[in-house]
Amino acid sequence: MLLATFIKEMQLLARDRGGLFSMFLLPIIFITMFGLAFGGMDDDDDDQQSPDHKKVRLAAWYEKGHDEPQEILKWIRASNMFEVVRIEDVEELKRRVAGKDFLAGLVFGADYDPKEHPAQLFMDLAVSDLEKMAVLGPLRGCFAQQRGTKMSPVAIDPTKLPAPPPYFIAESPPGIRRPLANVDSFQVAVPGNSVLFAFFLALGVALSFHEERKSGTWKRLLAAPGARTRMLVGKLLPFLIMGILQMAMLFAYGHFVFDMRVGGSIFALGIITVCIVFTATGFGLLIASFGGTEKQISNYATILVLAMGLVGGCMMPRMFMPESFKAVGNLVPHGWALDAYYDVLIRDGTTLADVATPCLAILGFGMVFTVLGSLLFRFER
Amino acid sequence: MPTDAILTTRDLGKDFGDLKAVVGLDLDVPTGEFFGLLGPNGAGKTTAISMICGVVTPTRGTASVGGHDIRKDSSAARRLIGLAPQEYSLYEELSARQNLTFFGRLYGLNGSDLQQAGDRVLAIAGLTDRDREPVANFSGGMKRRLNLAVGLLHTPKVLICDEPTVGVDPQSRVHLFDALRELNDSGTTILYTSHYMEEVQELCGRIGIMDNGELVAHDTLDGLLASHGKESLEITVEGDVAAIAAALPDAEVEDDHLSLPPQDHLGDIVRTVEDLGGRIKNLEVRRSDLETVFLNLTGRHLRDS
Repeated sequence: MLLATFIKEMQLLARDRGGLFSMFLLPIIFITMFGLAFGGMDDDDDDQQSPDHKKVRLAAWYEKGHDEPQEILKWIRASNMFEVVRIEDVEELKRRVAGKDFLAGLVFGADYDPKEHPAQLFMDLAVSDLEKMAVLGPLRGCFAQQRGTKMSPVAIDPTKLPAPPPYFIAESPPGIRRPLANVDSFQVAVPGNSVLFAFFLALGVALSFHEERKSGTWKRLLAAPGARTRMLVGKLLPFLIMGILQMAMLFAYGHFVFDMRVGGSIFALGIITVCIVFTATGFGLLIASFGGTEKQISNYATILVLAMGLVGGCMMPRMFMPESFKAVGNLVPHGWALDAYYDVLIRDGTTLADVATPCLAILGFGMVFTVLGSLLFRFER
Repeated sequence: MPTDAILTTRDLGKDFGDLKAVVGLDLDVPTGEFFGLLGPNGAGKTTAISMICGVVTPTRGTASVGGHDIRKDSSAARRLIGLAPQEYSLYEELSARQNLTFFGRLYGLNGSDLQQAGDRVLAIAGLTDRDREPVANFSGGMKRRLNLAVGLLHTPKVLICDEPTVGVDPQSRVHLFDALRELNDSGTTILYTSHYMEEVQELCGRIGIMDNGELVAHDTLDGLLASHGKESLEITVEGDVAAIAAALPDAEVEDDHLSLPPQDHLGDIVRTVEDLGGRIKNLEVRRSDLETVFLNLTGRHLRDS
């Protein structure tokens, strides 16, 4: 029964031209329009740089009276690339780097030694390599210049040049606020519209049950031998697969047509997608469980899907929303999904582990929708 | 219970909230019988057959098909039943063959068995040449025939047809009747519901009449006519109708029309009318038919539910 229902649903979906248009072509149009309309949004998104000559804001901490760090910081200031601010406390330095007040923070221990006890550099290491090198390269140069003044001329024999010391060890501070630096507009438009349209799948699911009841085929299904739960799974599975295909196509469209960058793991991207499509399908079952006429289902489901998309940041990213409203996005799966997508798309090196929390949150929504939908669903109506 | 009954219900009932849709249905349909179920709208016919098919769960009572209880052994019971619901119950976007393939698979048919079963029922439905066309292109009659064909795919022991001729042209109706007679002749038990008395009268060996959720009578046509039918004398008169009616015992009046119990001496009636200055325009003896029995048992008030 499961396989037969699955094949039949796939045949029906393949013949539904309007449905296919809404599922695949409409989001492409939306992505293109949103992406082009918001084009160049990254140009002025650089609040970690000083407005004065676009200097990189660098926090620094060292023991008072410790000379060598002060000497190094002189070289760093002299480079004219950094605006250096001394912070009184190491923990505060980490917090302010995590909170985007500074792009990076240098901590010199009391026993600072470029070889044995190098400095610690705190910065968000999940940014792109280019961004990292824009900070790490000049800093290493400044450290090397300061060290070069201390060397005797004999030591500058190129044949006897020792390997350079590390100068500092870089690590990410805890509690990074996930800055969205260097975002290209399609990294926002593609996930936003994909998640929004993925949830229109719920409308398709609910209407499909309604159509079965209206046409009388539901009676035939109930009259056939086999468990009713298998029939339910057989009906939902094609929507899950079509939803995943839809999302895959939309992300591929963004990547190949508009050069949307994927900084993190493709596998993580896939898992987020499976989670969100599962949740959208479960939401469809929940809507179907309430029944109603075709008009009622269409109206209520559309309003719900649009409202959830708006709150979750599908139409306007949450980073542009007031602080008080941003938290509301966590009440819908869309908000979690977009956070996860942005991490994977924008932040280099993001892995599944980095987006495990939002994935679990989305799955939680999915489980609640599916379980509630299954409990409330009435086979005999 | 007759030993050869393939379909049996005992105290079968269904409530929808306060509404008792079916009350205490006791029915035995022997193997090979063509059983007709009549009833006004809302009488409970569709609910009754829905319970037998496993589409609706009974509130009380039992039903069994081929000895399999519809609740305890529902898959086995459902496997023996073929259903042609009142609605077309087809996927209009799919072709006739795709519909048959899908529904056939639900009953475990696959491969060449499924292909052959499809060919067989398409021939019964007279749709062999149209099997690749989307059902949406079909006429009402073609859809009705395909609706029946789907119910026959797995060669059921019991075929349940719920108002199978609603909205079909005479040609399709005749085709459906022929197909149903052939099936019944070959041993398929048929449970047939309809509003059309002449269909049930023509096709069915035994007839049950339902009203307000209850089976109020069931017997052969002759048996029903004998036990629930009546003859009457119908007279249309000219003159003082009220005075004439008052002079004839047990007369029922409607405009210039009088309905009387059968009379042995018609001459007495003619004289009474003439004595009162009237004249008989028309006189006939009306014998009971199934419709009369039906109306006698279910009344004449309108049923809008």
